[in-house]
Amino acid sequence: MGETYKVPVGPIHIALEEPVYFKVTVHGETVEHVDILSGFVHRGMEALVLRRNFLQNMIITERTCSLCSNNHPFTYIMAVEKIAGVKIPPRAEYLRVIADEVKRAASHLFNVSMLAHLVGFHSLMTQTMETREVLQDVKESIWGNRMDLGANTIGGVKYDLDKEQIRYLIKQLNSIKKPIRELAAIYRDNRIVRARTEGVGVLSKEDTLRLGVVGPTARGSGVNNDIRLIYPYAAYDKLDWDVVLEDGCDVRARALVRLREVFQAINLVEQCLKALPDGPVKTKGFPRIPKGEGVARTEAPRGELFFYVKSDGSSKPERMKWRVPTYLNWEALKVMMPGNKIADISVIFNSIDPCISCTER
Amino acid sequence: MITLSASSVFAYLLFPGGLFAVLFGLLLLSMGRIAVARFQGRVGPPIYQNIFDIIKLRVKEVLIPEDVTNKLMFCIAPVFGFVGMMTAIFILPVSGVYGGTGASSDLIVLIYLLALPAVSHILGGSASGSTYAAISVSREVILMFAYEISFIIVLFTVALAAGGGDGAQFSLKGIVDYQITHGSFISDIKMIPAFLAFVIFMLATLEVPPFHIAENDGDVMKGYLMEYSGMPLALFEITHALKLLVLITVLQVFFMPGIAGASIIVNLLWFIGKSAAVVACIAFIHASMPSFRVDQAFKFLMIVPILLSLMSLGMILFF
Repeated sequence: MGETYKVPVGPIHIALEEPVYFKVTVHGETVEHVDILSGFVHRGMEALVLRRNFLQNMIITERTCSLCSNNHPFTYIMAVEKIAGVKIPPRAEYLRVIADEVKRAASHLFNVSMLAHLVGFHSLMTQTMETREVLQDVKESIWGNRMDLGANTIGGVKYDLDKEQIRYLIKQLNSIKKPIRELAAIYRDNRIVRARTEGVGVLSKEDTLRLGVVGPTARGSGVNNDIRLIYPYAAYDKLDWDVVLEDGCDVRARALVRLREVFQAINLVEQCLKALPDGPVKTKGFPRIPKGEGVARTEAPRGELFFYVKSDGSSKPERMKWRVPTYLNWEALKVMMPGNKIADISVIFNSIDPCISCTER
Repeated sequence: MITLSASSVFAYLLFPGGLFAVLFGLLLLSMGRIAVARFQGRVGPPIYQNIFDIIKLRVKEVLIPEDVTNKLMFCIAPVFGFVGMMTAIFILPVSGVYGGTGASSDLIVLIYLLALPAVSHILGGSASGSTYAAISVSREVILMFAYEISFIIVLFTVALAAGGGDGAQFSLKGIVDYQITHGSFISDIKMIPAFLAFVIFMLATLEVPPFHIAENDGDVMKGYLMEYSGMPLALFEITHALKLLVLITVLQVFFMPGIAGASIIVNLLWFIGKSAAVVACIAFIHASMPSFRVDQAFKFLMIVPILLSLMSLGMILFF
């Protein structure tokens, strides 16, 4: 097979969790060019939010996507709080970080388990998912839901942790440290996993900066753009942590960033639990949202999430716009994929941790 | 010389070939799936799952896509592999139970028969007109080129070893008899590299990780099976089950044909037990390995099993 031909990957394909269509031009087994077509799961959410009031929009934004479902309402609420000039109580700041980091750990574990699935290591996938299940149990026990936590509200958080819940959280987080360490060693050192991920989907530092790539995808190329550090929100500036950076620029580096961030997330939750101040978790009543504009950024599991909210003083927003990390990252696929083999397409695609339902909302 | 007698028809159609082989092969497949599931912390399917799959496919409609390039080839492709495997089971002796055909050079026939399932994948896949099938077929051809070499070296090593320093023994029955009197090859240190090479060959031809490449779900979905449905697909599944059984039987003929007693029943149970143990080992490897990419697998197959089998061949020839 010497000549060039086209392979359709998607819109419905086993390797893709969500519908997106790659038109891959292939020479032999080597990818030459990729065309990305999207728009299969557009739900018109940006129009929908204009017909709901600020409180209802917390619920809608949470349904944008399941894996980063905490970050959407979180960022939206921060933008609204900026318009209203609300200062949330310190205890709520810490509780927001706890919800965010538990979600981040679960999301990253999900992504690396998908990587294991795509390189054909199904045992590693099931083991990673089993470890993640502990976090799902934690979410269900504390927030009452396995995916949509509903943790944040305008002016604070909707939940509080009592002593027993803190004890339970610490116990569960401790119990997954050892399995994750063992799993991380397999992702890092197993020879075939290395052969399948090392040097695959290379995205150089220059390209990362040029394309504005965000999140663990960029941090795998040594670019520090962690919003938690460069534009701190909630309690992140009060905690002791460092940005995880890898300079492999390939799929392996991105997976290692995610695995190390799982440990970091556990560490951050533990720090928060230790430093948790007393006091209320929410400001009294519901603030009136005045006329104005607000912008908020957070670090979602996939990268920077950006919300713009414009209010005309009524109960509904006049305009809302959000930019999700995958929108920036999938342009980078056109740089990552050429030169790799067909078998790597899904591995590379998974390495940006794509979220199509976020991007097409 | 094989003559058409009642006993050979019985052996081809009912036992140990034919019906028995199909059912036993399907059960082995299910056992493999259950073992993999247990290694992964899952429950796995019930033991009769693969038999039910065949029964289900039997009643399903056969869909032939419009852009099939060669309709006839698409329809008859599964038959080649099936017939090849049925014949392979027929000529393979099961030590203490069934003597095979007793032909003097059936070992050579085996080389051709074992290649037939892959040929039928290649014919069916390339006739189906699907891009995924085309990619998967090209991978299968690449891998086949690599693993067949080591298989043939192993085969000649076994033939030479069974000759006992007096030429080569190309009769499967002769190989079994030699080992029953002189001890199994698996206990011979000289044959261990060849045994390992054969295991790698088995994994590659069964497309078990680390060689789950040609029909890898992650990129080419089901590959050459993509457009198949109904009875032709069932035939492919049966062929796969038979291939598993054939390879396990070949493994036993080559390396561990030991018998457990004089009774046929005891020996049959011993054969079944050994087969189940081999399936469990394959399942363990399956569960503990990721898959190579095709270029990596080709490199691996061109180096490791060939070197291993050459090592055994050298030791048999010169020591």
